[in-house]
Amino acid sequence: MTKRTKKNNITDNYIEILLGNLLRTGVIIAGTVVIIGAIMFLIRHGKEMPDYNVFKANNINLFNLKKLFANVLLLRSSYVIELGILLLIATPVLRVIFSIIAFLYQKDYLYVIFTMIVLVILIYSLFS
Amino acid sequence: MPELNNLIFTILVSIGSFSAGILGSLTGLGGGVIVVPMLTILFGVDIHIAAGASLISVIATSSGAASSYVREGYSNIRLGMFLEIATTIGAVFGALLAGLLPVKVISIVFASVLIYSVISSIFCKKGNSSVITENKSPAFLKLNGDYPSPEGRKRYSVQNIPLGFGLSSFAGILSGLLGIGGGAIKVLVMERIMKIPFKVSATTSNFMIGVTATASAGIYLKNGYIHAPLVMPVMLGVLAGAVLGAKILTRASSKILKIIFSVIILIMAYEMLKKGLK
Repeated sequence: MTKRTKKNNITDNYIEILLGNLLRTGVIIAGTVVIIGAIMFLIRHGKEMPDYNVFKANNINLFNLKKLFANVLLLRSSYVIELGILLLIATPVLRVIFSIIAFLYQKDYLYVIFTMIVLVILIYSLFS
Repeated sequence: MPELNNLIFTILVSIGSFSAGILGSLTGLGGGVIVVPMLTILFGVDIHIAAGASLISVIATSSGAASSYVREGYSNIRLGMFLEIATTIGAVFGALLAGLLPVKVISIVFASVLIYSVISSIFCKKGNSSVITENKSPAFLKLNGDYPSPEGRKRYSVQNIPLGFGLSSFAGILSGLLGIGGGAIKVLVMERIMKIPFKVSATTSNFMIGVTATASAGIYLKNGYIHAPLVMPVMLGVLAGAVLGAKILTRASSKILKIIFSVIILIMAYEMLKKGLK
């Protein structure tokens, strides 16, 4: 019993370190894309006035990927920033997906189910 | 402030978010709970848009800090994943509520959270609750764990699981409604209710925050609360501030700092309350 728990802990910790690195890499990539977009935005629109005091819905669908990438290729700055935001949001989702794989590998089916519930909620929020 | 152009606005918001990140990290409240009132009070940003930018910064901070926390071997991934079911459901509800409730109500809820944060940071000492090793949690959940201590790894047992689970969903609702990470509430629930050691609660909560915020982010995107040009300075500012704050934290945590922070947060609470009651 103790031997088994110990073994599980080592695997847990190893998985966590992998996941932690995955998350950090995601943040660095996303942050870089956001900075590039922001520099483009400031070069082009730096002298315009911002207007955040009145709520205006910003109804750009991030998950219309075709449109997003088309605009990124046109070097539209706010779409480049949004690509960065999308990459950032993708990192916790990836973490959840990798956790499912890790629990499957450990044959911990209860936690495979728990983690899948979390994934379904995330997918509902992002794609509903 | 109509005279500010985008460039100056972005620079000022970066500086403000950087300070919010430091403050949030030093107080343990998280950057979001500071950055939203700052954006609405100082910069006159609409509370929904402020919450949207904050939420993205919360994801960045949580994910960015994850790898440094895990190495120490404190966090409990099973516990985190189990409670994430509650926090993500709550977060979806909270985000939907944000679109339905009037701004005044949201401001008042925000002010209450700020006041509560100050009170709990003054009256509750961290890491003071006793750790229970007596096993009460059902074995099949495998929630019990151990953590490094000076005398080797110490075991702990998780208590009051149904209540802890329920309160976690409440933490999720607040996170989605206000665009904050809600780390302080999650830690409180895990430490006080579920009797989990403080370090374990804090690191596990950090893991949960990113996933919880992501569950709100989808709804926020659809509602149009996420404005790309504002997200950049807030996200990078809070992230940089949190990184620096974590470095300072290990060196200094004096009483004077705590009092200054409490006063700043109370002023923000007062301003939010004024917005809500106007």
